[in-house]
Amino acid sequence: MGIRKIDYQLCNGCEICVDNCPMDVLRMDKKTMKPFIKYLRDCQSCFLCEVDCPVGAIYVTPDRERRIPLPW
Amino acid sequence: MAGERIGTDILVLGGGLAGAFAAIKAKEAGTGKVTLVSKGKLGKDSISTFAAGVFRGVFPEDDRDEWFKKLALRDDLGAGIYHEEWLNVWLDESYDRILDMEKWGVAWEKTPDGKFERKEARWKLLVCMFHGPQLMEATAKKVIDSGVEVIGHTMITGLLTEDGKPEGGVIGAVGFDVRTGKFRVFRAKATVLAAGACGFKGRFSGHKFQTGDACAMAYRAGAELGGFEKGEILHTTATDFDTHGLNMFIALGGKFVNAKGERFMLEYDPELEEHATMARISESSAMEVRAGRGPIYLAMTHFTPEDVRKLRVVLPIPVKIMERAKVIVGDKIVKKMEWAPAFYGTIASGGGVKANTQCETSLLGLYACGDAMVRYGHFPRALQGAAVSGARAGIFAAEYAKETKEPEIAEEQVGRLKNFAFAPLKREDGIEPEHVIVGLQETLMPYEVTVISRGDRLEKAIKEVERIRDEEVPLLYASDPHYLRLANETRNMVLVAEMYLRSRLLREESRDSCLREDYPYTDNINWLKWTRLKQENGKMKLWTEDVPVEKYKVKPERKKYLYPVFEVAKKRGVKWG
Repeated sequence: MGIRKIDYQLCNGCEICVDNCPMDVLRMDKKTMKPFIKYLRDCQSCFLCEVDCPVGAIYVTPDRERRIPLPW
Repeated sequence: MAGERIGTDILVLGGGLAGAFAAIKAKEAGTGKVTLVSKGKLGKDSISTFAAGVFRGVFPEDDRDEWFKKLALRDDLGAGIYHEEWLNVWLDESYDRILDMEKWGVAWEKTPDGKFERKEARWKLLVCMFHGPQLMEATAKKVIDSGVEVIGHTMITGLLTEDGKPEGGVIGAVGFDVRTGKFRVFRAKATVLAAGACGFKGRFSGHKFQTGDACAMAYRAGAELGGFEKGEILHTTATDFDTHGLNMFIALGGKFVNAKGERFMLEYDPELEEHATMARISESSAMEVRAGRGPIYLAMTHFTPEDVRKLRVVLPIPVKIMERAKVIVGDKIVKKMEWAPAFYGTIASGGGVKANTQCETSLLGLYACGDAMVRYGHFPRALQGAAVSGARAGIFAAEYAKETKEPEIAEEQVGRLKNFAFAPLKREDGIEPEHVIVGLQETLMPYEVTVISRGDRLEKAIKEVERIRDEEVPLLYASDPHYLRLANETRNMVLVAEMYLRSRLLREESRDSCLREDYPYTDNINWLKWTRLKQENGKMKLWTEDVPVEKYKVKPERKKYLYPVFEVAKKRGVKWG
């Protein structure tokens, strides 16, 4: 699940989310100069992109994108 | 063998709090050029970014001897396995590091009269509180303002040594840009490792980029490592989503309950209760689950609106996560969270590169700090250890660099390391990293391997990791630089998994965070020892080194006793053996 939405109406193309993502999930579309979700499966739902977005354009879910085994 | 060439005096690998401290202190020492390389953006790609808002420090008004006694001999902090010199260094320097950070603009929670606000967290030790990610924002700014050259989005994959020889002095590193795939070669007089933690992409918030990179490259260069069986391997988190911040949750009164609603920690740790170590909480939870009293919950529904406000300030990201998971609604916590061991790997405490209190490793010119350094399962550890050891690594690496000539790089080694890093991209086809990662997690994470272990189960897990290493790793495939990073991370994690399991098998006793059903006693007669490992003739060689307790002022008693969790479990009708 991870990052679910980038609202292109709100997005100002500042690139902060692309630069900040520690998992390298996002890339910039060179034509529109807006970010897009390229590697969703590597999203760790850490919410950095959402909390650092200056215009509130990003929505993240806390549901894990990767299946991770439980200890029991 | 082109690639971008970067020459520097001091190369810092890793941009968490340890790496940042190393870079800032090295620059302050006036050595010349300092270059910091991080896998993502500086300030955003470290465990410290997601550090859970609390920092332990010994204040001038504290009873230092009391802290020493508390940290040296506790049976949930190594039971006498400690490093006297490092513990003294940490007790003496932690407060100064807090003041450093305050000067850089790190915001701390203060009392109305302007003093540091302190609360009792794990071990009932006092912590001060900072505002989550703001700590690394202010610290990263200080790194840049200090004139450190920062190169981001670059994964380091190998260390360069004098004449390209194994176990030679370290003279830099190589890596690649994780977005463009550009190869980078760093030449340096001194190299500081500050990217060592391995979280195995497990169930914990914000830690999935920690893949033991520094430990893996140091091992391949012939350095001595150790301590992989111990540490905070057993951190805990929610089962349904990743979060962090347990120190704070407990400081505010969070309680663990089993499926019957019993506060089992009152029995497993009558002294600390929920303030017990992560290991103790995981071990006790596992015993309860084995007895059919699972699942385990963390209950915080009794928190006041003021408690929730405090959480919001200190842990802004976990609060956001819990709101979205509908655990927090408004200023109330509305339901208990199912909770379980998270398999934390070597993050915060445990295995790493062997280093003395000047952060020197067994290889000349190579320094280790923070989670890249072996931490023996006790202090210095975690964020407070990163600050103290990072500052030292920077200062001593700078001293070394001042007396060292420009090194010469062996081009043959550059070529070899480049081929090693880029192999997954060169293959026409192969296994995607995801498959290997899941296989590794399925091998490591069952509680009967990591929480309540036994020799036969460890041997089986080692066989499986060897199979993954020999059959799958050579076929790892990457279609672009992003997946090349993932493939290299995966290869490093497989190596660290082997270090962990082999060290665990070597320790034939039960001590905090490494329980063995087949050796249920804490054995201070035979096992006041550190585990060590290194690569020899292509194989992992392990041995032990005696802890020099006879020379210590505060000596652990030479005795053997049933590890407390086994004793309580027996009373509570849990079978083990």
